[in-house]
Amino acid sequence: MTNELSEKIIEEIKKQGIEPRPRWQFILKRWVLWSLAIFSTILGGIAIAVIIFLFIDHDASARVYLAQSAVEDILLAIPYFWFVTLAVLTGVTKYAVRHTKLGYRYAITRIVATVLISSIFLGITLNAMDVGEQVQDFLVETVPSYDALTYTSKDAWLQPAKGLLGGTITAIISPEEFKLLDFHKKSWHIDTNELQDKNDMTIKQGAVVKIIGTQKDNSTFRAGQIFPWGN
Amino acid sequence: MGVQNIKTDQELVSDAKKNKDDFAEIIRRYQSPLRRYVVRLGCRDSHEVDDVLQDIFIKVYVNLNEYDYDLKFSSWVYRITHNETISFFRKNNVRPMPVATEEELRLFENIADETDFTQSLDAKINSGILRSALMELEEQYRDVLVLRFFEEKNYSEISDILKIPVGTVGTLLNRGKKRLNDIFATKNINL
Repeated sequence: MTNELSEKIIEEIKKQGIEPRPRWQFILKRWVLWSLAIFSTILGGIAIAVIIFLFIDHDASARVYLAQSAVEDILLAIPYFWFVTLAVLTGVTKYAVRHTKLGYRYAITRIVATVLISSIFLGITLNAMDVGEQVQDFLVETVPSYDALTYTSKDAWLQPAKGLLGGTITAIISPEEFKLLDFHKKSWHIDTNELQDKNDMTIKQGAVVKIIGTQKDNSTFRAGQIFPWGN
Repeated sequence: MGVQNIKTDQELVSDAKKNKDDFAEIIRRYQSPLRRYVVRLGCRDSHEVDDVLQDIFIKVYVNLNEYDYDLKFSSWVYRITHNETISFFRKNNVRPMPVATEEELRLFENIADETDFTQSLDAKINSGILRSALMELEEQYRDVLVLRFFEEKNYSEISDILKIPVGTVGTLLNRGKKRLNDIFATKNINL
Protein backbone atom coordinates (compact mmCIF):
# COMPACT_ATOMS: atom_id res chain seq x y z
CA MET A 1 0.00 0.00 0.00
CA THR A 2 2.76 2.38 1.05
CA ASN A 3 4.86 1.60 -2.00
CA GLU A 4 1.79 1.72 -4.20
CA LEU A 5 0.99 5.29 -3.27
CA SER A 6 4.56 6.54 -3.55
CA GLU A 7 4.92 4.87 -6.96
CA LYS A 8 1.61 6.30 -8.10
CA ILE A 9 2.59 9.82 -7.03
CA ILE A 10 6.08 9.65 -8.55
CA GLU A 11 4.52 8.34 -11.75
CA GLU A 12 2.02 11.21 -11.74
CA ILE A 13 4.81 13.74 -11.15
CA LYS A 14 6.76 12.34 -14.07
CA LYS A 15 3.71 12.03 -16.33
CA GLN A 16 2.64 15.62 -15.76
CA GLY A 17 6.22 16.86 -15.92
CA ILE A 18 5.85 18.51 -12.51
CA GLU A 19 8.95 20.30 -11.26
CA PRO A 20 9.62 22.08 -7.97
CA ARG A 21 8.94 25.79 -8.34
CA PRO A 22 12.24 27.63 -8.65
CA ARG A 23 13.69 29.07 -5.45
CA TRP A 24 13.84 32.59 -6.86
CA GLN A 25 10.03 32.75 -6.90
CA PHE A 26 9.87 32.23 -3.16
CA ILE A 27 12.69 34.69 -2.56
CA LEU A 28 10.90 37.24 -4.76
CA LYS A 29 7.68 36.72 -2.81
CA ARG A 30 9.48 37.36 0.49
CA TRP A 31 11.20 40.39 -0.98
CA VAL A 32 7.88 41.81 -2.22
CA LEU A 33 6.25 41.26 1.18
CA TRP A 34 9.06 42.96 3.10
CA SER A 35 9.19 45.81 0.57
CA LEU A 36 5.44 46.27 0.94
CA ALA A 37 5.77 46.28 4.73
CA ILE A 38 8.59 48.85 4.67
CA PHE A 39 6.92 51.00 2.02
CA SER A 40 3.58 51.13 3.81
CA THR A 41 5.31 51.90 7.13
CA ILE A 42 7.07 54.84 5.47
CA LEU A 43 3.77 56.03 4.01
CA GLY A 44 2.25 55.63 7.47
CA GLY A 45 5.04 57.86 8.80
CA ILE A 46 4.20 60.47 6.17
CA ALA A 47 0.51 60.24 7.15
CA ILE A 48 1.48 60.88 10.78
CA ALA A 49 3.67 63.82 9.69
CA VAL A 50 0.71 65.41 7.87
CA ILE A 51 -1.59 64.75 10.84
CA ILE A 52 0.88 66.46 13.18
CA PHE A 53 1.26 69.36 10.76
CA LEU A 54 -2.51 69.81 10.42
CA PHE A 55 -3.00 69.82 14.19
CA ILE A 56 -0.17 72.29 14.77
CA ASP A 57 -1.29 74.43 11.85
CA HIS A 58 -4.89 74.51 13.02
CA ASP A 59 -5.95 78.07 13.80
CA ALA A 60 -8.24 77.90 16.80
CA SER A 61 -8.71 81.69 16.79
CA ALA A 62 -11.08 81.47 13.82
CA ARG A 63 -13.66 79.58 15.87
CA VAL A 64 -14.26 82.67 18.05
CA TYR A 65 -15.42 84.66 15.01
CA LEU A 66 -17.37 81.72 13.63
CA ALA A 67 -19.08 81.27 16.99
CA GLN A 68 -18.12 77.59 17.11
CA SER A 69 -17.73 75.59 20.30
CA ALA A 70 -14.36 74.03 21.15
CA VAL A 71 -15.80 70.56 20.46
CA GLU A 72 -17.10 71.63 17.04
CA ASP A 73 -13.71 73.12 16.29
CA ILE A 74 -11.85 69.95 17.32
CA LEU A 75 -14.21 67.73 15.31
CA LEU A 76 -13.66 69.98 12.32
CA ALA A 77 -9.89 69.93 12.75
CA ILE A 78 -9.50 66.14 12.94
CA PRO A 79 -7.91 64.97 9.66
CA TYR A 80 -10.21 61.98 9.13
CA PHE A 81 -8.81 61.28 5.69
CA TRP A 82 -5.31 60.82 7.09
CA PHE A 83 -6.47 58.70 10.00
CA VAL A 84 -8.30 56.40 7.58
CA THR A 85 -5.21 56.33 5.35
CA LEU A 86 -3.06 55.44 8.38
CA ALA A 87 -5.45 52.65 9.36
CA VAL A 88 -5.37 51.21 5.82
CA LEU A 89 -1.57 51.41 5.65
CA THR A 90 -1.24 49.77 9.07
CA GLY A 91 -3.53 46.99 7.81
CA VAL A 92 -1.40 46.53 4.70
CA THR A 93 1.79 46.38 6.79
CA LYS A 94 0.20 43.90 9.19
CA TYR A 95 -0.87 41.73 6.25
CA ALA A 96 2.60 41.83 4.70
CA VAL A 97 4.42 41.07 7.96
CA ARG A 98 2.03 38.24 8.83
CA HIS A 99 2.73 36.63 5.45
CA THR A 100 6.50 36.76 5.75
CA LYS A 101 8.35 33.58 6.62
CA LEU A 102 7.98 33.80 10.40
CA GLY A 103 5.45 36.62 10.66
CA TYR A 104 2.74 34.30 11.93
CA ARG A 105 4.67 33.80 15.16
CA TYR A 106 3.85 37.33 16.30
CA ALA A 107 0.49 38.34 17.71
CA ILE A 108 -1.51 40.75 15.57
CA THR A 109 -1.68 43.29 18.41
CA ARG A 110 2.10 43.20 18.69
CA ILE A 111 2.57 43.70 14.95
CA VAL A 112 0.04 46.55 14.82
CA ALA A 113 1.58 48.24 17.89
CA THR A 114 5.08 47.95 16.42
CA VAL A 115 3.92 49.33 13.06
CA LEU A 116 2.09 52.24 14.68
CA ILE A 117 4.98 53.12 17.00
CA SER A 118 7.39 52.99 14.04
CA SER A 119 5.07 55.22 12.01
CA ILE A 120 4.71 57.69 14.88
CA PHE A 121 8.46 57.98 15.40
CA LEU A 122 9.00 58.33 11.66
CA GLY A 123 6.15 60.86 11.43
CA ILE A 124 7.60 63.01 14.22
CA THR A 125 10.98 62.98 12.49
CA LEU A 126 9.48 63.77 9.08
CA ASN A 127 7.36 66.57 10.51
CA ALA A 128 10.47 68.09 12.09
CA MET A 129 11.85 68.18 8.54
CA ASP A 130 8.65 69.96 7.33
CA VAL A 131 7.67 66.94 5.25
CA GLY A 132 4.11 67.08 6.60
CA GLU A 133 3.60 70.62 5.34
CA GLN A 134 5.28 69.88 2.01
CA VAL A 135 3.07 66.87 1.40
CA GLN A 136 -0.04 68.84 2.36
CA ASP A 137 0.86 71.73 0.03
CA PHE A 138 1.82 69.37 -2.78
CA LEU A 139 -1.48 67.49 -2.58
CA VAL A 140 -3.53 70.69 -2.38
CA GLU A 141 -1.85 71.96 -5.54
CA THR A 142 -1.81 68.75 -7.56
CA VAL A 143 -4.89 66.78 -6.47
CA PRO A 144 -8.02 68.86 -7.10
CA SER A 145 -10.33 66.97 -4.74
CA TYR A 146 -7.81 66.64 -1.92
CA ASP A 147 -8.40 70.13 -0.50
CA ALA A 148 -11.95 69.19 0.45
CA LEU A 149 -10.67 66.26 2.53
CA THR A 150 -8.77 68.32 5.09
CA TYR A 151 -9.64 71.40 7.11
CA THR A 152 -6.66 73.67 7.51
CA SER A 153 -6.16 77.16 8.90
CA LYS A 154 -6.28 78.40 5.30
CA ASP A 155 -9.74 76.84 4.93
CA ALA A 156 -10.84 78.59 8.13
CA TRP A 157 -9.83 81.94 6.61
CA LEU A 158 -11.52 81.30 3.30
CA GLN A 159 -15.02 82.04 4.52
CA PRO A 160 -15.72 85.62 3.40
CA ALA A 161 -19.47 85.19 3.79
CA LYS A 162 -18.82 84.46 7.47
CA GLY A 163 -16.44 87.41 7.78
CA LEU A 164 -13.09 85.63 7.51
CA LEU A 165 -10.65 86.12 4.65
CA GLY A 166 -6.94 85.35 4.32
CA GLY A 167 -4.35 85.65 1.61
CA THR A 168 -1.45 87.63 0.22
CA ILE A 169 -1.53 91.39 -0.35
CA THR A 170 -0.66 91.83 -4.01
CA ALA A 171 -0.96 95.60 -4.39
CA ILE A 172 -1.60 98.72 -2.28
CA ILE A 173 -4.06 100.79 -4.26
CA SER A 174 -4.50 103.68 -1.80
CA PRO A 175 -4.34 104.23 2.01
CA GLU A 176 -7.92 102.84 2.13
CA GLU A 177 -7.73 99.91 -0.21
CA PHE A 178 -5.52 97.08 -1.40
CA LYS A 179 -5.66 93.97 -3.52
CA LEU A 180 -5.54 90.54 -1.93
CA LEU A 181 -5.09 87.10 -3.51
CA ASP A 182 -6.82 84.54 -1.30
CA PHE A 183 -5.62 80.93 -0.79
CA HIS A 184 -7.81 79.80 -3.67
CA LYS A 185 -6.03 82.28 -5.97
CA LYS A 186 -9.07 84.55 -6.14
CA SER A 187 -8.42 88.29 -6.23
CA TRP A 188 -10.20 90.58 -3.76
CA HIS A 189 -10.56 94.29 -3.41
CA ILE A 190 -10.12 95.11 0.30
CA ASP A 191 -11.75 98.24 1.69
CA THR A 192 -9.98 99.41 4.87
CA ASN A 193 -12.15 102.47 5.59
CA GLU A 194 -13.61 100.82 8.68
CA LEU A 195 -10.33 99.34 9.86
CA GLN A 196 -10.04 99.69 13.65
CA ASP A 197 -6.26 100.24 13.64
CA LYS A 198 -5.46 102.58 10.77
CA ASN A 199 -1.72 102.40 11.42
CA ASP A 200 -1.61 98.67 10.98
CA MET A 201 1.91 97.84 9.89
CA THR A 202 0.87 94.46 8.48
CA ILE A 203 -0.55 96.10 5.33
CA LYS A 204 2.30 95.93 2.88
CA GLN A 205 2.72 94.27 -0.47
CA GLY A 206 3.64 90.59 -0.22
CA ALA A 207 2.42 90.23 3.36
CA VAL A 208 0.24 87.24 4.18
CA VAL A 209 -2.67 88.38 6.32
CA LYS A 210 -5.96 87.29 7.81
CA ILE A 211 -8.83 89.73 7.83
CA ILE A 212 -12.01 89.93 9.90
CA GLY A 213 -14.73 91.94 8.25
CA THR A 214 -17.76 91.75 6.00
CA GLN A 215 -18.20 90.73 2.42
CA LYS A 216 -19.66 93.55 0.32
CA ASP A 217 -19.97 91.75 -2.96
CA ASN A 218 -18.42 88.92 -4.90
CA SER A 219 -14.97 90.53 -5.02
CA THR A 220 -15.01 93.24 -2.37
CA PHE A 221 -14.38 92.74 1.33
CA ARG A 222 -14.61 95.40 4.03
CA ALA A 223 -11.87 94.90 6.63
CA GLY A 224 -12.51 95.50 10.33
CA GLN A 225 -9.32 93.96 11.70
CA ILE A 226 -6.19 92.74 9.99
CA PHE A 227 -3.63 90.36 11.53
CA PRO A 228 -0.40 88.97 10.15
CA TRP A 229 -0.72 85.32 9.18
CA GLY A 230 0.44 83.03 11.95
CA ASN A 231 -0.72 85.27 14.80
CA MET B 1 25.10 -6.53 7.67
CA GLY B 2 26.15 -2.95 8.25
CA VAL B 3 24.19 -0.40 10.22
CA GLN B 4 21.65 1.24 7.95
CA ASN B 5 22.22 4.96 7.66
CA ILE B 6 18.85 6.68 8.09
CA LYS B 7 18.74 9.98 6.30
CA THR B 8 17.32 13.05 7.95
CA ASP B 9 14.29 14.81 6.47
CA GLN B 10 16.53 17.63 5.31
CA GLU B 11 18.79 15.21 3.48
CA LEU B 12 15.77 13.62 1.83
CA VAL B 13 14.56 17.05 0.69
CA SER B 14 17.96 17.79 -0.83
CA ASP B 15 17.95 14.44 -2.57
CA ALA B 16 14.39 14.89 -3.88
CA LYS B 17 15.28 18.26 -5.39
CA LYS B 18 17.96 16.54 -7.44
CA ASN B 19 16.11 13.37 -8.29
CA LYS B 20 12.34 12.86 -8.57
CA ASP B 21 12.59 9.19 -7.57
CA ASP B 22 14.14 10.12 -4.23
CA PHE B 23 10.92 11.94 -3.35
CA ALA B 24 9.37 8.49 -2.92
CA GLU B 25 11.28 8.11 0.36
CA ILE B 26 9.59 11.24 1.75
CA ILE B 27 6.22 9.83 0.71
CA ARG B 28 6.98 6.51 2.36
CA ARG B 29 8.11 8.21 5.55
CA TYR B 30 5.12 10.53 5.88
CA GLN B 31 2.31 8.65 4.22
CA SER B 32 1.03 6.89 7.35
CA PRO B 33 1.08 9.83 9.79
CA LEU B 34 -0.42 12.16 7.18
CA ARG B 35 -3.11 9.66 6.30
CA ARG B 36 -4.07 9.47 9.97
CA TYR B 37 -4.04 13.23 10.23
CA VAL B 38 -6.26 13.68 7.17
CA VAL B 39 -8.70 11.17 8.61
CA ARG B 40 -8.61 12.90 11.98
CA LEU B 41 -9.38 16.18 10.31
CA GLY B 42 -12.61 14.61 9.16
CA CYS B 43 -11.99 13.01 5.78
CA ARG B 44 -13.62 9.61 6.14
CA ASP B 45 -13.87 8.21 2.65
CA SER B 46 -10.75 6.15 1.85
CA HIS B 47 -10.79 7.11 -1.83
CA GLU B 48 -11.04 10.76 -0.93
CA VAL B 49 -8.20 10.34 1.56
CA ASP B 50 -6.04 8.87 -1.21
CA ASP B 51 -6.91 11.76 -3.54
CA VAL B 52 -6.18 14.33 -0.85
CA LEU B 53 -2.90 12.60 0.02
CA GLN B 54 -1.82 12.61 -3.61
CA ASP B 55 -2.59 16.32 -3.88
CA ILE B 56 -0.69 16.95 -0.65
CA PHE B 57 2.46 15.15 -1.76
CA ILE B 58 2.40 16.78 -5.17
CA LYS B 59 2.06 20.16 -3.48
CA VAL B 60 4.95 19.28 -1.16
CA TYR B 61 7.05 18.36 -4.17
CA VAL B 62 6.15 21.51 -6.10
CA ASN B 63 7.03 23.68 -3.11
CA LEU B 64 10.19 21.88 -2.00
CA ASN B 65 12.24 25.01 -2.60
CA GLU B 66 10.05 26.95 -0.22
CA TYR B 67 10.89 24.66 2.66
CA ASP B 68 12.93 26.50 5.25
CA TYR B 69 15.53 24.23 6.83
CA ASP B 70 15.19 26.09 10.14
CA LEU B 71 11.67 24.71 10.44
CA LYS B 72 10.90 21.08 11.28
CA PHE B 73 10.08 19.36 8.00
CA SER B 74 7.21 17.53 9.66
CA SER B 75 5.65 20.86 10.72
CA TRP B 76 5.90 22.16 7.17
CA VAL B 77 4.36 18.98 5.74
CA TYR B 78 1.59 19.02 8.34
CA ARG B 79 0.87 22.65 7.45
CA ILE B 80 0.40 21.75 3.79
CA THR B 81 -1.69 18.76 4.80
CA HIS B 82 -3.94 20.87 7.00
CA ASN B 83 -4.43 23.54 4.33
CA GLU B 84 -5.04 21.04 1.53
CA THR B 85 -7.53 19.03 3.59
CA ILE B 86 -9.47 22.12 4.66
CA SER B 87 -9.53 23.42 1.10
CA PHE B 88 -10.74 19.97 -0.03
CA PHE B 89 -13.68 20.26 2.38
CA ARG B 90 -14.48 23.75 1.15
CA LYS B 91 -14.03 22.94 -2.51
CA ASN B 92 -16.28 19.90 -2.30
CA ASN B 93 -18.64 21.45 0.22
CA VAL B 94 -18.04 18.50 2.51
CA ARG B 95 -18.51 18.75 6.22
CA PRO B 96 -15.61 17.25 8.21
CA MET B 97 -16.56 14.19 10.24
CA PRO B 98 -14.29 13.63 13.21
CA VAL B 99 -13.35 10.02 13.79
CA ALA B 100 -14.93 7.63 16.17
CA THR B 101 -13.80 4.60 18.14
CA GLU B 102 -10.62 4.04 20.09
CA GLU B 103 -8.76 7.05 18.89
CA GLU B 104 -11.47 9.26 20.26
CA LEU B 105 -11.16 7.58 23.57
CA ARG B 106 -7.45 8.27 23.55
CA LEU B 107 -8.10 11.89 22.72
CA PHE B 108 -10.59 12.02 25.47
CA GLU B 109 -8.10 10.61 27.97
CA ASN B 110 -5.49 13.11 26.96
CA ILE B 111 -7.84 16.05 27.27
CA ALA B 112 -9.11 14.85 30.58
CA ASP B 113 -5.59 14.51 31.99
CA GLU B 114 -4.67 18.01 31.01
CA THR B 115 -7.74 19.75 32.25
CA ASP B 116 -7.80 18.14 35.68
CA PHE B 117 -11.45 17.46 35.34
CA THR B 118 -10.99 13.78 35.23
CA GLN B 119 -11.55 11.27 37.90
CA SER B 120 -11.66 8.30 35.64
CA LEU B 121 -12.93 7.53 32.23
CA ASP B 122 -16.34 6.27 32.65
CA ALA B 123 -17.85 3.47 30.68
CA LYS B 124 -20.78 5.71 30.03
CA ILE B 125 -18.75 7.65 27.61
CA ASN B 126 -18.98 6.35 24.16
CA SER B 127 -17.35 7.36 20.96
CA GLY B 128 -20.51 8.93 19.57
CA ILE B 129 -20.53 11.55 22.29
CA LEU B 130 -17.03 12.74 21.53
CA ARG B 131 -17.69 12.64 17.82
CA SER B 132 -20.73 14.83 18.12
CA ALA B 133 -18.93 17.09 20.62
CA LEU B 134 -16.03 17.61 18.23
CA MET B 135 -18.52 18.23 15.45
CA GLU B 136 -20.03 21.03 17.49
CA LEU B 137 -16.68 22.71 18.06
CA GLU B 138 -15.58 25.51 15.76
CA GLU B 139 -12.87 24.56 13.28
CA GLN B 140 -10.18 26.59 15.05
CA TYR B 141 -10.64 24.67 18.30
CA ARG B 142 -10.93 21.31 16.59
CA ASP B 143 -7.68 21.97 14.69
CA VAL B 144 -5.59 22.58 17.80
CA LEU B 145 -7.21 19.80 19.81
CA VAL B 146 -6.55 17.25 17.08
CA LEU B 147 -2.92 18.35 16.70
CA ARG B 148 -2.29 18.43 20.43
CA PHE B 149 -4.05 15.29 21.55
CA PHE B 150 -4.11 13.06 18.49
CA GLU B 151 -0.91 14.08 16.75
CA GLU B 152 0.81 14.91 20.07
CA LYS B 153 2.43 18.01 18.69
CA ASN B 154 3.89 20.58 21.06
CA TYR B 155 2.77 24.23 21.12
CA SER B 156 5.63 25.40 18.93
CA GLU B 157 4.88 22.77 16.29
CA ILE B 158 1.17 23.61 16.33
CA SER B 159 2.13 27.26 15.91
CA ASP B 160 4.22 26.39 12.85
CA ILE B 161 1.58 24.09 11.36
CA LEU B 162 -1.40 26.41 11.77
CA LYS B 163 0.67 29.60 11.34
CA ILE B 164 -0.58 31.19 14.52
CA PRO B 165 1.37 32.58 17.50
CA VAL B 166 2.27 30.15 20.30
CA GLY B 167 0.19 32.22 22.73
CA THR B 168 -2.85 31.81 20.51
CA VAL B 169 -2.30 28.04 20.47
CA GLY B 170 -2.53 28.00 24.28
CA THR B 171 -5.62 30.20 24.24
CA LEU B 172 -7.39 28.07 21.64
CA LEU B 173 -6.50 24.88 23.48
CA ASN B 174 -7.87 26.17 26.76
CA ARG B 175 -11.04 27.52 25.18
CA GLY B 176 -11.46 24.38 23.09
CA LYS B 177 -11.17 22.16 26.13
CA LYS B 178 -13.58 24.34 28.05
CA ARG B 179 -16.11 24.26 25.21
CA LEU B 180 -15.73 20.53 24.93
CA ASN B 181 -16.35 20.31 28.64
CA ASP B 182 -19.44 22.54 28.31
CA ILE B 183 -20.75 20.35 25.51
CA PHE B 184 -20.31 17.28 27.70
CA ALA B 185 -22.06 19.08 30.53
CA THR B 186 -25.06 19.89 28.34
CA LYS B 187 -25.22 16.22 27.42
CA ASN B 188 -25.12 15.33 31.12
CA ILE B 189 -21.85 13.52 30.83
CA ASN B 190 -19.99 13.64 34.15
CA LEU B 191 -16.23 13.50 33.86
